[in-house]
Amino acid sequence: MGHAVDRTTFDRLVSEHLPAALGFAIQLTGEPDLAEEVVGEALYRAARSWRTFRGEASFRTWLFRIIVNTFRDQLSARDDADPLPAELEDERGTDPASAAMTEELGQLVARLVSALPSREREVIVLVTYQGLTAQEAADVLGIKRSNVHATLHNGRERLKRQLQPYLAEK
Amino acid sequence: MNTQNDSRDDSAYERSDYDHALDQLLESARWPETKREQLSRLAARWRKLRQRRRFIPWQAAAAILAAAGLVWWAVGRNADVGPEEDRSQATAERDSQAPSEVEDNRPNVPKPTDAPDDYRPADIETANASVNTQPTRNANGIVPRDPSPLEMLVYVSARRGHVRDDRRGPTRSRKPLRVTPGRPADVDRLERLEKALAALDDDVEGAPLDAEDQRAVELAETLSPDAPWYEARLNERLEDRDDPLRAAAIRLWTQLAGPRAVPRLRELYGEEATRDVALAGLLRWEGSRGLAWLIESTDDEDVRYVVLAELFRRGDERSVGLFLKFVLRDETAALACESLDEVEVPPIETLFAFLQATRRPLRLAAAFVLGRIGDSIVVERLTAMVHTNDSPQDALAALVSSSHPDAAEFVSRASGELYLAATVRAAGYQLKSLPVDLWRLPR
Repeated sequence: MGHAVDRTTFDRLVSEHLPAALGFAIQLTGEPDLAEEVVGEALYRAARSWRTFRGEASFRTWLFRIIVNTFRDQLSARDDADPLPAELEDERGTDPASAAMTEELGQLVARLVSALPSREREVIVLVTYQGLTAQEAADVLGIKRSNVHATLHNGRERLKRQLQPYLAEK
Repeated sequence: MNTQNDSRDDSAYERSDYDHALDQLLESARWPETKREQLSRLAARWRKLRQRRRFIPWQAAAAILAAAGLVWWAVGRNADVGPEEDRSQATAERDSQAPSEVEDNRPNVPKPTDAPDDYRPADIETANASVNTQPTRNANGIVPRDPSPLEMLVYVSARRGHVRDDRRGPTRSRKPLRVTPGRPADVDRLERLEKALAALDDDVEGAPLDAEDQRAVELAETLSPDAPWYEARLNERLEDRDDPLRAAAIRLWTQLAGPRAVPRLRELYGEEATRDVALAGLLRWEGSRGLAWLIESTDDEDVRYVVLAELFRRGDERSVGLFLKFVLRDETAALACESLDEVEVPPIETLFAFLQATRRPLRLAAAFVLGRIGDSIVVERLTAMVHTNDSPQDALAALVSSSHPDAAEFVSRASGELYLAATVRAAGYQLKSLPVDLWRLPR
């Protein structure tokens, strides 16, 4: 059973985790500016509900959960109010082989990850890039561990198809 | 990085899903780096939020407790005074009180006086002497009693809530409190009022109506010793749609009532005949959100223009933030840019503060407006920001938007410099990525 942390400790934890939070948000959104907005809003939510952090989960898991929720809210708000212009959508659906002509492979992979359907993206980023266990990812996302496995598999399969030309080279 | 997908508790899963080539590719993913300025903006935001958060539990609780204690103490004292004396004091208070509870802190406005105009200490003494202090039964056989402290507390709270209605949003409105005279007419004061209205009516012919309405301010000052009385008389005249001096009455009443006038002004704004004069009053006393609502609720470009200029002129963070949101809207962007010329002293510091906002569109809108203002001091500050690496991209966005020769020269030079060329291009792209095409706006 955890217990509430004091304000000073909480402030220190936020400051320590700020770079990781921004990095995580960049991986989720694929855009630094949007990521900053997500983290800014998440900080507001964290400031409102800091007493709910009782040290039962790690602080990172707690903060990431807020960031994921904020990201989802912003995503749905964007979808409702401001659909992406067609040319942007096209850009994300670009054939990997031709896209690689103009950009680094690493950037291409990052873009593909950040363009996955949101749940797959969240799972892949948390497990593959943030190093969370399936159980920790399940806690952050509020889903079952078996769902994490299934979603991770689907996401990897999707990426495998999109990256097929480069996988063949390897 | 955990490309092995959680070796601690999912090894069975890993074995079936392991794909070395895919993991290698995933490992190569490179997202944009986190920028130092982004982190410092977020850290600043956290500090601000933390200060606000700390305020809530301590000072607010202490303030509420202190206020409750004060009310309790005051009510306890009043309860000792006696029912009839209490009632006569309340009557005297009510007579003297036009709706004056909302604090009026704008300049050049006469403050309502506290004392009733025909206050006579002897009257109250006489009244007290004739009062039967024994409680009597009413028709239902119930003996009246003093309110308990708790009842008084509820009563005081309810009155405070009633007053706060004035500050609510634009969709809510409440008719101003009507004060009936209850005293013999004061011929001198009525004459003075008629003269003031006639003078203002003449002024309508010659001078345009504006938020300052200097003539109305001057005349209101001459009436200030009896402000509540005049306010009450004018309030009654607002109801008379056939009154030839109604517009003048609204102008004078607006100055006397101050922010309390806002709900009634919103209603008058809805009437064709009083729209302009009510708008002038709203420009002076309406809150920023109310002004934003005015812009959204009309297609009249003249109204939008003056209200946008007023938002910008106010210069506080909320007003300028709302103004920037209108810069980012297709239907108001051009008018917002035009209205910049109306403001002699633009809120430069607020705009520079918005360059640190966490929302990119707001940052870029602020940069764009700074560029449009573009005097040499602003340009100098922006170029210094680029050199000191303080939000260089936003500063460059402002310089790119500017038509000032110094800005144009700086941008042209920066485009040729190795370490700045990419930032200049990025600033241009950022501006072009906004939902509104700011480039098409006339310079």
